[in-house]
Amino acid sequence: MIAEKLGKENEEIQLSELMSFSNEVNTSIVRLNPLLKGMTFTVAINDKVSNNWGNEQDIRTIAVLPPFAGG
Amino acid sequence: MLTPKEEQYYSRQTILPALGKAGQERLKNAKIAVVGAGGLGCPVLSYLAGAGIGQLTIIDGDKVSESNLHRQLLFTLDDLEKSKAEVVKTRLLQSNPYIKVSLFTEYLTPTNVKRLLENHDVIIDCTDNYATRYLINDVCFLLKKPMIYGAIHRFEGQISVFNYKTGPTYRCLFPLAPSPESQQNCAEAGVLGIIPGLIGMLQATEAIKIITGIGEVLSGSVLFYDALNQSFNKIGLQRSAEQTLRSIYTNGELNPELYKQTFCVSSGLETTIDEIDFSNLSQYQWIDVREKGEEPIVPEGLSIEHIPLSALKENHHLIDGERIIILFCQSGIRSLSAAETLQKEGFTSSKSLKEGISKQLITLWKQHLTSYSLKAQ
Repeated sequence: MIAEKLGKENEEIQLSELMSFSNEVNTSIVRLNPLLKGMTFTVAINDKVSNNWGNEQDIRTIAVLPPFAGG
Repeated sequence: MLTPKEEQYYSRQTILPALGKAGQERLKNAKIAVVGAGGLGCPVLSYLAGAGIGQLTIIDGDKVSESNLHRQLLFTLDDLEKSKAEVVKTRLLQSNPYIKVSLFTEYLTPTNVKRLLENHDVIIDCTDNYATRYLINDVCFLLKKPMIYGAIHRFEGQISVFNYKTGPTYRCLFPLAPSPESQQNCAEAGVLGIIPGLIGMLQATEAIKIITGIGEVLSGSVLFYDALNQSFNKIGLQRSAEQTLRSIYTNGELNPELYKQTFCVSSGLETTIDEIDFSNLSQYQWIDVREKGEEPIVPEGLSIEHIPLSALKENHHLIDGERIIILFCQSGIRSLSAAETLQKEGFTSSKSLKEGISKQLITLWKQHLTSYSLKAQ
């Protein structure tokens, strides 16, 4: 769903730039990808749901996870 | 105790060392409520019936339609327009007569949810909308019952077990319901039939693990599946929404006011096909709030304004406040949000077409076009 919106499955980013946008991960993600504004999603850092950056040195992956409605 | 016939029926299962007859007894004594008998519900119910869950309760107010059949494999063309819950019950008991199946052919609401779910050991979320998911989650928190979550979108699926012992809840993952603009169920987004089949089977597996105590329950993690690259990703999740959930209750009861938005409770903003005067369509302005390219396509020749919900605010100049405004989408969710927005902005004649654009509506439109052209001759 997010990949459809952004037209890409993943990307490499400058973490320091992303972290400089905001202390909140969700806010930073939207600043980097304005197309996500208004969308509901949860962020996972290193495969754990989190909205706090923690230690930059330890961050390997950031996943943007949308809710699904279907059933 | 298992009867001799039950022992024979479950023999391939009870020889599993981790399960045995003791595990089979636990399955026989279990009561599981399955909310939704559609894409997820069909495989969940099929496999739990086969496994020998003693009491299955099916909660679904929907009827079988043709577009269900590619993924809801318990139904056939002979079942169209029949109650899903009733058809599923018949199929399950044909397959396994040793279980009990109860039905509630009604939709879950804030007023009936506690009554319908409280006498069960496990609740399985096989719904197709956020409102009901949050409702199930919140009442499972109140009742301290595990909720097995499953959800799908196109080629992807999600599954987890929420409210299991002290584990996280659905609100710990997604604290608030998405905006109506981003709510797309299978009718709107599309889905490969296999996806709910797979996710439903995983949900049934978790149910069996919870009841029998074998394996590691998927609590504290959410499994994300992507069929296009056959990947499973497990994401860790901690309990964090406790304060929010406690605030939802007043004297141990859910506050229905909190679900008005998510349930899109209408307060008179909805209309149905039966209430529309097709002999005098000029009194209406039809507005299609779907995104461009969504099917089914509106028949040619009709005067229908296409304003996607996301673009509604900047296109008020296209709306005719002198006529009755009928808004429609695929299933009535986005159009209800549009009607609420327009009502607040002074378009007091705005109505949402309940259940969205349907075959019946298209037929009525086409009939109108035919009779109009005959008059014109």
